[in-house]
Amino acid sequence: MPPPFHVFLDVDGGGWHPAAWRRSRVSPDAVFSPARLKEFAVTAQAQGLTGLTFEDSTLPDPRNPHGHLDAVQRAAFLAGTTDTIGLLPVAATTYSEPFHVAAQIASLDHSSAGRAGWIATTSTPAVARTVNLPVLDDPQAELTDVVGAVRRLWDSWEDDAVVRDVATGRYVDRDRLHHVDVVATNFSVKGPLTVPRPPQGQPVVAAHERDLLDPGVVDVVLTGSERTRRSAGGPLVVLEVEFALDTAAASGAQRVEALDADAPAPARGRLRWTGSGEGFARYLSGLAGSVDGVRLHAAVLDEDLRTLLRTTFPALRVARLLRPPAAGATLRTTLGRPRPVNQFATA
Amino acid sequence: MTDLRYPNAVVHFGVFFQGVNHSTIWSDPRSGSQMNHSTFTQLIRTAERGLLDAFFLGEGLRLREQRGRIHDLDVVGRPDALTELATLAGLTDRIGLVATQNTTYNDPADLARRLASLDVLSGGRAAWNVVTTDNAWTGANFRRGGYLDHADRYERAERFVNLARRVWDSWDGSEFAPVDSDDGFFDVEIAPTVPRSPQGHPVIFQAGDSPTGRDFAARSADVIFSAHGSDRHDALAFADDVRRRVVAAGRPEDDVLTFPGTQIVVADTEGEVEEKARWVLEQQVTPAPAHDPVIADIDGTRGAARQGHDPRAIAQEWRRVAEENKFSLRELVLHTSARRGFAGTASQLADELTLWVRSGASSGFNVTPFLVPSGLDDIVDQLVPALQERDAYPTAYVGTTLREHLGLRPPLTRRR
Ligand SMILES: Cc1cc2nc3c(=O)[nH]c(=O)nc-3n(C[C@H](O)[C@H](O)[C@H](O)COP(=O)(O)O)c2cc1C
Repeated sequence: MPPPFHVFLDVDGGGWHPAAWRRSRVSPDAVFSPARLKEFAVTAQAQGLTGLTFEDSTLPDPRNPHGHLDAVQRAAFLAGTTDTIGLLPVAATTYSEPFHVAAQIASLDHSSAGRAGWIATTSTPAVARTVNLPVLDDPQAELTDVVGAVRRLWDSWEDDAVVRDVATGRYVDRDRLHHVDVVATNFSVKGPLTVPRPPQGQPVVAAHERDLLDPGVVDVVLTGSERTRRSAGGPLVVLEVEFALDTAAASGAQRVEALDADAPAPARGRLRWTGSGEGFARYLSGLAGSVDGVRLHAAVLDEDLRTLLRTTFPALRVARLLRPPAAGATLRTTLGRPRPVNQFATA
Repeated sequence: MTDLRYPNAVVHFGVFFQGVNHSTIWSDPRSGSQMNHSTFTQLIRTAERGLLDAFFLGEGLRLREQRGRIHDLDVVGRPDALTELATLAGLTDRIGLVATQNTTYNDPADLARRLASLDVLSGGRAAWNVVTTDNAWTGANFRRGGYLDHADRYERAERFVNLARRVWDSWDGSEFAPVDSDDGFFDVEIAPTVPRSPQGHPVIFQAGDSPTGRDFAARSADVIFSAHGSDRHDALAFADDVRRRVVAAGRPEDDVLTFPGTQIVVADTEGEVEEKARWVLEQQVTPAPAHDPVIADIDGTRGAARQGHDPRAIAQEWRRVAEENKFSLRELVLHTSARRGFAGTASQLADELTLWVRSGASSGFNVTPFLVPSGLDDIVDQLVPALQERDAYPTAYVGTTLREHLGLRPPLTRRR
């Protein structure tokens, strides 16, 4: 049996390429279609993927007239109609409220019965302008602070805080609810969270390598480099790959070239791969053993997903690299991460 | 009954899933989890089966405390409203989804976008119940801390809603016109990233009872969620006051609906009404604790009391009543907790609620189930058919959006 290998698929708009919406089989506005989102989720789950990720930005790309629905909202929308696949929205740590982020991801974990993850990101200074906060000179330090605060908020209810003790009339044991009393450089939070502890205890936290001062604060490091390796006892390493596959009409490289002519794609710190669907399966198989998984970004979701389904995924299944999460498993369980002990546990 | 103001009006129902605080009974064996997703799914499916207009979630951004310790006698803990409603959007087709969201501890850039996202994901079923919160200590959970006095909160709320509307309106699918604001409250630049839904904008609810709050609603809201849901004369006075303010704001008098929060106890027979209503009240005034504190030990000067009354005077009056009747503390609370909402057989209730909406006392009711997840069953299985027999309730959803269910005009900024 090969080592566990995790395939995540990003479902954002038309695809990673800013011109993707022009190639979609649907009208520009239909990239926001909730029915289409459900269709992707059902397909990805049936293929045995570990998780869906939801890229996001609160700023529009001026060259690319399609936006994004809020990533947490999209993930939550799919929580009730899926049952094994992980749901990992992007939510920024900079210029956002740690309390709201903690409550949102905790709620997603409750409604998905333990399948929530959080891709913690930093935003560009332009985002500061949308909320009238000072531009941070050290967004990575802010990420560390916010992830730390969110983790304390998730622990602010112990697992057995709700006692429903009819004899004494107590609904909760208040000794098992905790003020978090976080005082960070740019914010403070009193706590406790208004949402009880998530089913996973701590939903899975991921962040990109470039945003991390200390990889130890996350469960999954996202990287654009094939050379990044997991350290003993450290977070899982997941490679970010944006890809464009050959179709009957054009090679993957030609397709990217044509898309670039419409709107050049910015560099995003991900690996770029073009070629045939079979070649892609061989490439991904080669990565198993050196990284724990991949996060796939399709150039044009409608076109590239078709090839993935027809050639790449079947080959990965034969190689035992696409193993569906067990029924009822939490995302943590699927990723082999133990349920963490509550930092406030009194028992 | 020829002098009814709206002789053909129908009853509108929302379900107010409070989830927390004393109105939700937790000690009964039939009471389910406030957090389990199956609770939400069962309730909202029942609501949709009963053709209810909306499923409504409240919000509280800090747990209630007493002297620095979490209040432990009532149900506590609930999901984030918008996140939960997005999940419910994926499981339902027609029912409206109302998120209570605070304007004091949110940013327009983020909240306007999340609301618009829910509106698109639900196919035009989202609404925002705009609240300001009435305390400063909630601020300890947020970057900007506790701030803003009562009047400033409403000023911020109104500017917040107007800014959100401008952001929603500025999406045109091909070009981005960022919305600029520099009004002392919001010095920001926000570009839309979310298209409009089939209902144009999320429906705007407002909850806040002061004159300032009512005027804000008269200028900006589609619906007022009020606490005037027990006494018809009180509700009518409130609705008349709202109509006056709405007309003064230059809008048609029926442009803002009133939706009082209430509770409805449906009994099988007339003989059971009082008994069932009493049982509900007893369960809500916290289950009997092992120790019942002695009245003489209670210090009436602590904690918040009703706005505008001297807490000492209230405490003295209660003390007098307790001594006269030899009440324990719990008996006193039961005595002073006037029954909220309605109790009756389905047929009595159908007559009463029909009278409310046809006399103009309210447009509908935002019903809090006192038991979850089964607390809507009586309403949907008994009261709704009784209303339908009286032609006072729809027999099908008329449209697909919440705006259509409520019979609202287009969003304020999108009228010709
Ligand atoms: C029926 C009703 C429901 C309310 N629900 C909430 C709520 O869920 N969350 C919240 O923070 N505030 C809620 N509020 C509080 C209001 O937002 C407002 O802050 C408070 O009533 C003080 O404003 P006022 O003086 O205008 O009434 C509610 C108010 C009313 C009247």
